[in-house]
Amino acid sequence: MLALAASTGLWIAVVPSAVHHGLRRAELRQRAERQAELLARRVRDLFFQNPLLWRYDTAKHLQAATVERPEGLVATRLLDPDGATVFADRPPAGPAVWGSAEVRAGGEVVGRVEVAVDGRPARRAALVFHATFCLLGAGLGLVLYLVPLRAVRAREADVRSQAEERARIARELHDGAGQSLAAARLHLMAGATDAATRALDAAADELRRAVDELRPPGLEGTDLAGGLRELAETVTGASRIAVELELPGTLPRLPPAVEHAVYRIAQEAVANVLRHARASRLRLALHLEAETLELQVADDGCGARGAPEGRGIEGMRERARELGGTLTVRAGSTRGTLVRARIPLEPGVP
Amino acid sequence: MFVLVCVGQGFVLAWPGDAVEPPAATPHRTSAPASHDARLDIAGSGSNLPLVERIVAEWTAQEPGLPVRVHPSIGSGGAIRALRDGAIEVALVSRPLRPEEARGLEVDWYAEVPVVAAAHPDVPADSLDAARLQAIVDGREQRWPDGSPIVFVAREPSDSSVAAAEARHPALGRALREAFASGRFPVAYTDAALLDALERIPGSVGLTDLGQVRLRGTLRVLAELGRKPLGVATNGPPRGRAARFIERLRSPGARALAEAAGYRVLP
Repeated sequence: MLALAASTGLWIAVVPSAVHHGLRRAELRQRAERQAELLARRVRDLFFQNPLLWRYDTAKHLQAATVERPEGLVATRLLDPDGATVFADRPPAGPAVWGSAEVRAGGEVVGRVEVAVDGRPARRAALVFHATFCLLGAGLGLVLYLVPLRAVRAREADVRSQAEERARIARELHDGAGQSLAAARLHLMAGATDAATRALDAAADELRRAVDELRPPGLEGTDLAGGLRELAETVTGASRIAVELELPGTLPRLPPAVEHAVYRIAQEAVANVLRHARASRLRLALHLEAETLELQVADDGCGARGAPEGRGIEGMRERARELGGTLTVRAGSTRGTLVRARIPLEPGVP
Repeated sequence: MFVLVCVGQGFVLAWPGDAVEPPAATPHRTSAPASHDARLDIAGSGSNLPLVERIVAEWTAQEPGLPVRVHPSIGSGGAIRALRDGAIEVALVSRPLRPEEARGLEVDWYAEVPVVAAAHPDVPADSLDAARLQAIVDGREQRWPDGSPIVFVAREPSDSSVAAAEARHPALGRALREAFASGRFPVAYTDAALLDALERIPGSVGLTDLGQVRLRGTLRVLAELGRKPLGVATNGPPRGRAARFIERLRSPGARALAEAAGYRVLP
């Protein structure tokens, strides 16, 4: 994971800026060659004007080009056909890109003009480009590293939690039902059937309690629709809030994780209404769509627009996110709040 | 990715492939084919050429078949390099030599010539002072009194006439250099090219020397802006035909010709 993130970041940091710089250098080389060609023509004219001493008259023409600086020209050189220097400006102070052109006179090569154009603007542009893409690469590399890492850590926490839960249940069974069964065995061996019966009853109680603990709290012995009905009845009994409950005509059994999470979200949202909303009406609605389950908890209370989100909402959002869903809270400035959770369902469910 | 590249005694940040030095080191050589043993080759600045060509013409008229050749202008600096390479025997110069140029050479400063603002024969002006010429060069003045456009023809900053004018009028010299660098004006790289341009282009004006203007006889002189020396240089004391040429240059006939053209002959 780290290698993938690092190589991706490095690739983004290096490759685009290298390509950009290569293109800029090619453009500068073309410029240099264009200027070299123009100067070569000028030198050829000097050759025809003064075939014997032309080379001694080239310096001022080539120096003049450096003063005029067409297309960022910074230095010129004239070489004879053997490659020996006839004239040379001082070498450019910074990076430069060179181009050259032959001086041809009467079908014969009498020299070669070399021209350097300033490479500093290209270097500055490449630096900016490179820095930008370095930041981009580093950012993307970080995202590529952290996102899977977070998922892995969450999964590890789940696994650890499950392992702890199994250990706890094993301990409960061992210390509770296990001990009672062992006692029943001893009583039976001793012929004390009444004591054995009591021990077996105790073991049965222990097992029932363990099974009850494995069920999601609040949904013991019922499904999501039943749990929401009980929740609505609890609110009606404990407050003056008029509760409206809207459920699908038939609601199949959903995956336990989905039922548990939706029920917990409904519990938390209702608790918030009771604690903060000063509402007179509460609406609990569950909609089952093709591949989505939607829960809505709406009230006509005082609303809470602009108020910071507390841990309760954060917890609800986390529960929805763990199942790949979303949770939104739309609060009116003075009236009403709507909590909407949308949980995706696997194809075929329901 | 950027890398540090050593340049001279320091470092610069560069991309791989950035050339901070010329692409290939090559030995420095400016030598041309050596001049023919039998011929006297003379070359140098354009300011000397009209006078020297006339003197050589008179000389060869008196001595038909005399192997003397006066080459087209290669400037004072080019002439010194050609002399050192042995490509010529006599270098014609029109500016004081720098110490490194003068080393080992024998120079005879034979005349001085005024540097002038010369113009197309039809320009509607009889005179022009340095301040007005500077206004033209700066671009502040763009028309002659009759409304016709002024065309300034520039020389490269290393030209001896520009240097002579700058010595007397520093502000004008700076303006001339800036005008060249700005690319606003056509540039002539030799005296002959400048004089041709001034003859051809109506309303044109440029810097040259009085001798060339007089010897050409077609241009109008508007102002004197300075003076420059004319000299002949040889590798060591002149010998053989080079010495004879300098004698001709110093002869009473040549002196009269020079003075008639506006040169001040030096002792």
